[in-house]
Amino acid sequence: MYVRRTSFKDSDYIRKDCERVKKYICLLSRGDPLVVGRVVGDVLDPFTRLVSLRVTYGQREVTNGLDLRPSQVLNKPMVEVGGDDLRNFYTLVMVDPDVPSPSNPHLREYLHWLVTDIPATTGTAFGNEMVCYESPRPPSGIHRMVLILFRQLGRQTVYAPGWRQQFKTREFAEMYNLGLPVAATYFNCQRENGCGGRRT
Amino acid sequence: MGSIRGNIEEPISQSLTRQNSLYSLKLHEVQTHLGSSGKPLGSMNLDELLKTVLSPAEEEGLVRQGSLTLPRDLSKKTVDEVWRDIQLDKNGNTTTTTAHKQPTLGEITLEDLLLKAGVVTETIAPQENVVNIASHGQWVEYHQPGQQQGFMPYPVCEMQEIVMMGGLSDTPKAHGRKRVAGDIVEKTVERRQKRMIKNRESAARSRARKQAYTHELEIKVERLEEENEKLRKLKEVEKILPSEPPPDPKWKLRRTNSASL
Repeated sequence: MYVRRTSFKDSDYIRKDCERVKKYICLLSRGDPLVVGRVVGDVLDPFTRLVSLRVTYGQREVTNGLDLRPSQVLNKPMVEVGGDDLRNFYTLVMVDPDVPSPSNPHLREYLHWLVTDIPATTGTAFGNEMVCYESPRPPSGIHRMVLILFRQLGRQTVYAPGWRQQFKTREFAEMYNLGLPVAATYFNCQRENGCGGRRT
Repeated sequence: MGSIRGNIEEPISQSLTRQNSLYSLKLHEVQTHLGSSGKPLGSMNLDELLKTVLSPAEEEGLVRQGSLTLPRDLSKKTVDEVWRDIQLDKNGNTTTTTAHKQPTLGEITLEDLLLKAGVVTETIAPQENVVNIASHGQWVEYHQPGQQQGFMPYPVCEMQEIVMMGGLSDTPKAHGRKRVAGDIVEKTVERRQKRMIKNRESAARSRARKQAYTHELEIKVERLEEENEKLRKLKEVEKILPSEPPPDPKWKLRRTNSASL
């Protein structure tokens, strides 16, 4: 006798998915890493993840709070954007909010990369690199490097700023009607020979 | 000055400020302070004057540092005579007088009188400073072993001021040096506090960094474990029940019993 896989699995999996989502929300409410790491606060406003975002430097996938050295982030990463409708376009912004040093970030933020018109389900390779990737080289302290994904209202609606310094992600989003982010992730970066802020 | 320090400091600070104020009292105030006991101020010897003024302070047990050595010739002079000398002296030289040099005897402060009279010479003073502060510092620390290091500068600063008052012949410079010493101490304290705040913020950032990463990893592990579980179950099911892909809803003619015959 053949049994249709979907017939008795559907309800099971729906139930499990609900549980999983509930647990995920519960974990996040305990302390979303983006909030704990003060990315939400210093750079972004609270938002809901709607689209998947996968950033990979070579073999390493970026998870929030991962430590990477400048040598590991020399070249632009591979970025995969989720979503389902190819008619949606996304903008990716990469900023460093801890310039020149996390204890005195008076030059917050520094724009490292700006890619616009990325079609859903594709990556930055298919988008428009408006501000070319500049590899992070923090002079002092441990800097957070944040990658943010916005959904554009339409195509070719976002333009590059005049300079990289004193970039304000919030203002940028407002200026081009990008709204709240749909995804974000970040990693930590410090000097090649840094000791993680510890003295000897 | 007492407000900057903590409560532990109070007993010492009070007596120190009191001693301070003794020297900055004007002579007519000193007169009232001493009451009607003894001779009028003017005809007192400097010796007697100092004894009567300093005896209440003596009781506090802190005067050893402030003890002034009166030159033999001065101690026998009366206050009036000393004052006359000062006046003559002033007219003679061209030293600038600070704002609070009062022309009348009553208005002059005790400190100024002693300074003008040259009670203690300048050469003795610097060494005295060093020795006095060190020993007093130790004394303070012995008395309050539980005290924080941060409070130390204040009693030291106070002692500097007191010794200097008796020790320097040139009053404007004395006041300048007093101010500078106080400023330096203030700056170091400020610097220390700033450093403490910076360190605190840095520690908080470090903790946040650590917590964010561990939490992220926990979430990831949970997600991966569940996916793993799901995939394993799927594999099991595949083995036990090899299932056909769901058939297309083709319109098929089926032979069924429609009538119960």
